[in-house]
Amino acid sequence: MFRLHHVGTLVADIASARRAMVERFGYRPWTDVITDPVQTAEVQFLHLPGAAQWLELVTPAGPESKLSNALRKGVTLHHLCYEVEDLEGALERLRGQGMLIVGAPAPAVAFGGRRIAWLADKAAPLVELVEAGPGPLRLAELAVPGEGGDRGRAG
Amino acid sequence: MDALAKLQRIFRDAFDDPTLVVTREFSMSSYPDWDSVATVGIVLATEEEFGIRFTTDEVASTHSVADLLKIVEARTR
Repeated sequence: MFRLHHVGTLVADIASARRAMVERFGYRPWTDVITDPVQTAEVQFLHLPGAAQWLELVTPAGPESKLSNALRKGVTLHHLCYEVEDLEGALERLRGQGMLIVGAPAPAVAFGGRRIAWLADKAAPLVELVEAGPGPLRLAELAVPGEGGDRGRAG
Repeated sequence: MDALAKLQRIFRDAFDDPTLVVTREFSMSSYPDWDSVATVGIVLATEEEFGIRFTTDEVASTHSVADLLKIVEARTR
C-alpha cells in the first residue's frame, strides 16, 4: 500500500522558502535543515497542523548537486514521496507498470537510515519511496490523535 | 530498420525534432537538451521498441547513443 508521505518542492533557498510557507500558510518546521550527501541536497520538513503528510523543502547542496540543473530549469514541484512497507516489492510493482528506477534503494539521513528509492516516468514529478519502520518522520507520528497533528519540532 | 535507425526515431520523438540526425557519438555532452529527464523517456521508449528491460545501473550509465546501442545489441543478439 502506498501512503503519501510528503511532497518535495525544489527551492533556491530553504530559509526564505520556509519563512514564506510559515507566514503565508501556517506551516511549522518539523525538522532542522538536514544535509544528505548521497542525494547532494539540503532538506527541511515542514508540517501544516492537521495535515497527514509533510512538505519537504529541497535545495541543491552546492553547485555540483544533481538538483542544480532542475532548479535552473525552473522545476518547483519536484517529487511525491510514498511510504511503503515492502520497498523491493513496491519497486518491482512500479517497474512492471512502466516506471524506471532511477535511484536504487539507499539509506537516507533524514529518515534515520531508512532506505529510499527513486522512480520516474515520462511525466513529472519524480516518485520517491521510503520504507516504513522506526526512526524519524514516520507517518504513524501524524496518525496518532494528539501526537503530531498540531505541533512543530524545530525552529 | 537497424537499431540505430530505430533509436534515431526515438530521439526525434523525444526532442520533437523530425530532422535530428543521431550517430553513435550523439551524447548528453554534445546535445544540451538531453538531460536526465529526457533519458527517462528515451530509455522507456527503447525498452518498448526492442522489448528489453534496462537495469538501474544501466539507466544511470546511459549518456550516449553508443551506451544505448551496447545494451540493445547485447540483449537482442
